[in-house]
Amino acid sequence: MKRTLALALFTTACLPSSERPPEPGSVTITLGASPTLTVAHPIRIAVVWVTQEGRELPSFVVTEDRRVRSERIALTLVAPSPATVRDLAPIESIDFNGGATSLGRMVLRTSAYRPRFVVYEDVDEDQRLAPSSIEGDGPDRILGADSSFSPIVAYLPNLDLVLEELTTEQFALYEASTDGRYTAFVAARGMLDSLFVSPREDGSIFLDDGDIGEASVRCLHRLFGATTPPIDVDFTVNDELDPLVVCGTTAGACRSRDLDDVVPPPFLDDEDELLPGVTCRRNEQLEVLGVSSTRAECEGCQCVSQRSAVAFATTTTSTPTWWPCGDVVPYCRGGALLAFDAGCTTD
Amino acid sequence: MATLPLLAALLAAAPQIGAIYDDPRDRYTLLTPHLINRELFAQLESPVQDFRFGRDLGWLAVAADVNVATQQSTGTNPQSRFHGFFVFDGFIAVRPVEFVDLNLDLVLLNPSASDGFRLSSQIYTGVALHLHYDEWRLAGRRVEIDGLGIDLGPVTLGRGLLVEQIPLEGETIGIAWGDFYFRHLFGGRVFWSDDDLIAFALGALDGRVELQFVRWQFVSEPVNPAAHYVTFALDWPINEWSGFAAEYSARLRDTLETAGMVRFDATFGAPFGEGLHVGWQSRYYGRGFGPRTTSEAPTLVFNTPYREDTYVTNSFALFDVAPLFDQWSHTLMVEARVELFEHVYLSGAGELLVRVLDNPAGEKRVAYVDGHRAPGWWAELYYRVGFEIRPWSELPHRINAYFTNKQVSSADNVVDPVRRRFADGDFVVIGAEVFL
Repeated sequence: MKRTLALALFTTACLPSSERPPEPGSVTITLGASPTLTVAHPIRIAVVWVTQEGRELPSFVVTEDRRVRSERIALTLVAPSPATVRDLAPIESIDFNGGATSLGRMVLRTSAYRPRFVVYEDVDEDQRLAPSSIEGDGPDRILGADSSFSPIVAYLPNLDLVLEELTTEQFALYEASTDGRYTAFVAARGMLDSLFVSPREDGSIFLDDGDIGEASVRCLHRLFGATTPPIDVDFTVNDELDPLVVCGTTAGACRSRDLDDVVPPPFLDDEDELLPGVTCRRNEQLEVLGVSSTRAECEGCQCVSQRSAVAFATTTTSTPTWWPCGDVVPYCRGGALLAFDAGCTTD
Repeated sequence: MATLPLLAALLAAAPQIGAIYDDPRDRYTLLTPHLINRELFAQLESPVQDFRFGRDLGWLAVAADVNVATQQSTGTNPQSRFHGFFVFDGFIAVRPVEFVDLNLDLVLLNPSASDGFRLSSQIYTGVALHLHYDEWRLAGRRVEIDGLGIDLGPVTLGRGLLVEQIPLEGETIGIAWGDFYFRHLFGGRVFWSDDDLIAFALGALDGRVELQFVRWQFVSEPVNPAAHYVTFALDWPINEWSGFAAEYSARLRDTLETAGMVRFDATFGAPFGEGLHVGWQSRYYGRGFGPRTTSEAPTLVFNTPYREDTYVTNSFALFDVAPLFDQWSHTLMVEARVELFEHVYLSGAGELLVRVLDNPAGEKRVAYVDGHRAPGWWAELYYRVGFEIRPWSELPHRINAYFTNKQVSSADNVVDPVRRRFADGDFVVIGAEVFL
């Protein structure tokens, strides 16, 4: 409705009102997957609200459950019933950081709940999340869940009370986190034990055949780390090399074969993008291709990263035909040839 | 101005308004119009100022307004910062040679007797050098040239749509030819710590019409690009006791955001007792009209009880949510003073402010503004009602006792920026004012 200035000055015939409920939220999630992950049934994603009423195991309510048909999924977020909201767990603190102003740093801390985004293999294909571990004894396998390390969404149970307290700068942050909509779902980020309202970003979930996603939901985010075991390396050296000399004592397995006869490890994804964990290192005589992977394994709420790698070594003058180093995979600068879990800086 | 004799009779302590260069004060209100730091000689020449000891010292003029008061909360709200205070507002003007005034505004204050003056007394000084030359004539009309800086005192642009009675420092120069004038003003720190104001005004008919170009710039450019406005203001006395004013402004950028205001004022003497002012003003600020692109609340500095003698309706509050909503405000302003008995006056001032906030088409934003849900509308009543005792009929010194919900909001130091002009709550204020 286009109001003219004159109309604005002399009449306010239709007084505005905002007596309407908050809008649903929305989020876009990008999925990534371990190259070793295999599934035999449809993959679905569910928006899960975990509740706990003093019982040993949490229960959950699902407000959205849909089949995953692409790597990017747009989800609509609606709040569950008030009874469910009352029992959500865990309720956390989230900070509205209005930034530094002439009046100092403005921070408002309020209560929030992070709805969980659970990607699962619908083993019984009943189009309904029924995992074996969180509640009940369904067969569905959880492949991944939202993580505190990725942009996430937080639900503000007391939206209007929060809005009343926001400063101008904090409200600007709220607008940035909701795309300017009146909604109780704000974009958030986790850092250590804190949650912050943040400008809106896509979330991401990594899928693998580990069980950290399931544990994260079951343990209400509260996972504990354990000592990371040494990386387990399976080494194959070209048959012109002496495995004992090349592998030394670092590899769990070390063998010598003609690398032209070896099935190449996966180093590109479906879109010909380099997979994470693929590295090439070299010196004047040798080149080493490493493909490492990490999988979280949890026992209760205690999780460890199980790291493993396959590696191939050859001389610089006799690389096999499938050898990707220097072409598809750039060489890492510096570092030991067998440093599979070290960072890689390329030229 | 035509209404001045009437107002002068109503306000024994009021300096004369209107003859002062670029006078920012409200001409109609019965709220006390305080002295300003320029042309003190001219201000004190007013008949209503003839009690001032220092009004006629040759090359020197001296005046001071002293206010000592205590304020207590009548409800559950806490005291405001000025709860046991004094404000000594002293003015000294020196005219070493003709056409040159050196003005000093010396403000001593302690907002809190609870702290004690040894802890919280504060001193602020403003210096204004005023060059005024009016000896030339051109085509039979007098040419007046003014240059003033760096204390500008309270500044009002146009009729107050952009800036109304906000104290600034900077400079202003002006040249007038008869009823026509051109003025330029530069003011620093208006509503944000990083803003400056540059204005050029063309006026005619002794200021009844004015065309103004305003550049509101920020140190934080290009994040906050400068805002440019063209405004047209009208200030039209209807008769000796009433007037009409209007201002329209457009912010110049890709999309044209506009704002406007109209105002009617009437003052009455007998048979309504000592005096009555009734005014009405309506304002509209389109979303995005405000000068700042990023959302940072405007703040005010130098928050003294003088602010209580200006209206709550002010662009300051409206600019806070200017990036979010279309805004309307409608304000009824009433002040009255009635002599009950000899030396005893009943004094009251009320400001009924209706604010309306709405989303522009296509937007569904919900926000809370001062605790009110927007889009929406609400009404606020600001009042001040009580008694004045003037022991000397011929002098303005007075004892005040009044109830109010309009107490200035200040941090520990009055120069610390605050986001709210007035503190929440109801108060009773008892004090005395002396004018030297």
